[in-house]
Amino acid sequence: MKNFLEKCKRLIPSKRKIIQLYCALLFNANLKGFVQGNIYKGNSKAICMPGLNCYSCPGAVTACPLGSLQGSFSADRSTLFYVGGILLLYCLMFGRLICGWLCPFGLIQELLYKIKTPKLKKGPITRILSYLKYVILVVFVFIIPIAYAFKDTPLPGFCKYICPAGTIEGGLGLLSNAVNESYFAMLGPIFTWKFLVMVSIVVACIFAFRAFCRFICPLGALYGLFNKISIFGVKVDNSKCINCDKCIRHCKMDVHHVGDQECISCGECMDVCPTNAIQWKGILRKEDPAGIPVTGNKKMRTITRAISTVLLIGLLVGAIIYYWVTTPDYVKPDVGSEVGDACISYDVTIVDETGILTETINPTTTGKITIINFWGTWCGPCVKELPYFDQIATNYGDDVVVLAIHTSTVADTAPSYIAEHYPDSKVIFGKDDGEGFNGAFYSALGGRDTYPYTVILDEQGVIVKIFVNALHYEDLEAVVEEELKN
Amino acid sequence: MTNETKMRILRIYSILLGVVIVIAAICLMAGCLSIYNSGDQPYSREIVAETFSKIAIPVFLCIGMIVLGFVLNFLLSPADEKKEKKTVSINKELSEADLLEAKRIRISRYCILGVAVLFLVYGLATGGIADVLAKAINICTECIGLG
Repeated sequence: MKNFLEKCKRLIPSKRKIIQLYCALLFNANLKGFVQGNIYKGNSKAICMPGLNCYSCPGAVTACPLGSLQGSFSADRSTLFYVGGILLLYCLMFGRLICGWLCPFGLIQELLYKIKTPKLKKGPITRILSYLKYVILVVFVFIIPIAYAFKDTPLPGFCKYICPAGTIEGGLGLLSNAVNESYFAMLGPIFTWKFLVMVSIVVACIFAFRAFCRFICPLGALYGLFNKISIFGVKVDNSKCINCDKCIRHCKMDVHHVGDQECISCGECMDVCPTNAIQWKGILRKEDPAGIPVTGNKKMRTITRAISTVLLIGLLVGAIIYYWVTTPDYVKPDVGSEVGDACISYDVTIVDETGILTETINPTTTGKITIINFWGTWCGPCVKELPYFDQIATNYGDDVVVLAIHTSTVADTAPSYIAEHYPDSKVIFGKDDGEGFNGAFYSALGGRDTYPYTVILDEQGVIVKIFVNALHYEDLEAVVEEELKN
Repeated sequence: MTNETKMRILRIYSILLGVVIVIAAICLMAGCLSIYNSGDQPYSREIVAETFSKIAIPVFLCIGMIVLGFVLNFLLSPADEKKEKKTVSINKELSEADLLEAKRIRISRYCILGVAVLFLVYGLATGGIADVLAKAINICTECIGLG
């Protein structure tokens, strides 16, 4: 019985593990998203949460700071200030405490490390590799997105080529739901590469403690730069430190000293310090003349802890219920959203380089093959495929009408974009005036949060093809030629 | 093999690894730059495929060396013995350097807080939050490997 109780005690997660799990659930409280296979579209997604959590995860209710930062380079200047301000606040407040206590992906890595295998100890190799994340930060988070921003092409370098959180939480989270069967058409070399990267990182995390955090994560690299000056975290009281280095030997991260840029402030070194020199920053504590912390009234502490626990659990349960109740159920349109259906009649407001006009166009009454493309200036694949639509409109102008409809959110960026890049284009640019984040026409045609989304109608206004992936000129030409033959 | 020899091997290997990583990073950046400069359609499949096939060798060499480094670290498993550091007594007084450092940290915190608040207020006042929301409420197909 005693052995059984001891084994049970060992299974109880530590305080830090409980907080990590709590944060993972809180930041992914949209459980309905996993059931329905779509993402949350509410206003809380304007807030960046501190850890690495892809906002394309079905459960995510906040935005990812890294994805938002990369996206801000090609957006309006105000976005960069907003995201920069949030990140600076997190860096100043917490530093890498976020990695150790709040990041959902950190929890995943620590759970993987629990798998019983031989473990890789830290050494000179891992110390060198710990600098790799700074290279990734500079190249993939700053240089690549900024360089492509000069070409008005949004490209989140880290998210697109490396981030395993996006692949696991977003990619696999969405693909695992049968409702998203059409997404399989989008799989290509990028998915293969990202899948390989994800598998490599997962395997590495089994053998090396927090391999992603230590060697790759650019968010951790950014937070680590502010670790020394962060308000919360761990610090060493130099008046008590005897330089025995037990803390460094015990630590599984590649620290040179406690509280440096590699330290994730997990606090496990406090247990091995012989002189209690390692302390939490930002916490006021009383000490007796001998330097030993005074713990205060035990009863008050118990009551405070109980109340805090109840409130926090209430917050989490409340969040889950709130998001479940307020997220609308996805209702598939009865007709007009599948190949073979007649497209619904809809007047699309025309947008050109001068602005939003009063004229409208109805895609079902053009009398020609109509290519309807839903796009956004913030969407990299949308922007990169627009030249192909422009080419098709130029080469097949007598037989084809190309209608590019900008998403209703941030639609006022479209006129300036069109004026700069497509001033004399044969493509008709439009705006969906309908209600909802994406627009009524997009939803009526079966669009589900993914951009670009292309629907092709024949001369009678019947849907002949639907694409959920980015297209090349050859793909469009093949469909047009086939329809012209028919 | 003595612990010192193992550590020496690992240190030399780690320097080599560092050099290879830097070379791979330069090749990667050069490749990206060439795609970037390739004209109006920088995403053309053929240009991207050609560029990545050129830089594949240094990148895969880098990945291979990282994996080999882990294997080497595991096989050699040197004991990480630090040199005997002179211990000092506890309850010593904080030096002037420590006090100066604490002051610098305090000043840095105030400066960064000021900058962060300014950025945040400006970003919120000029509508920066709308762009973040617009991107977050749509599936970033590129980010999850589907685009």
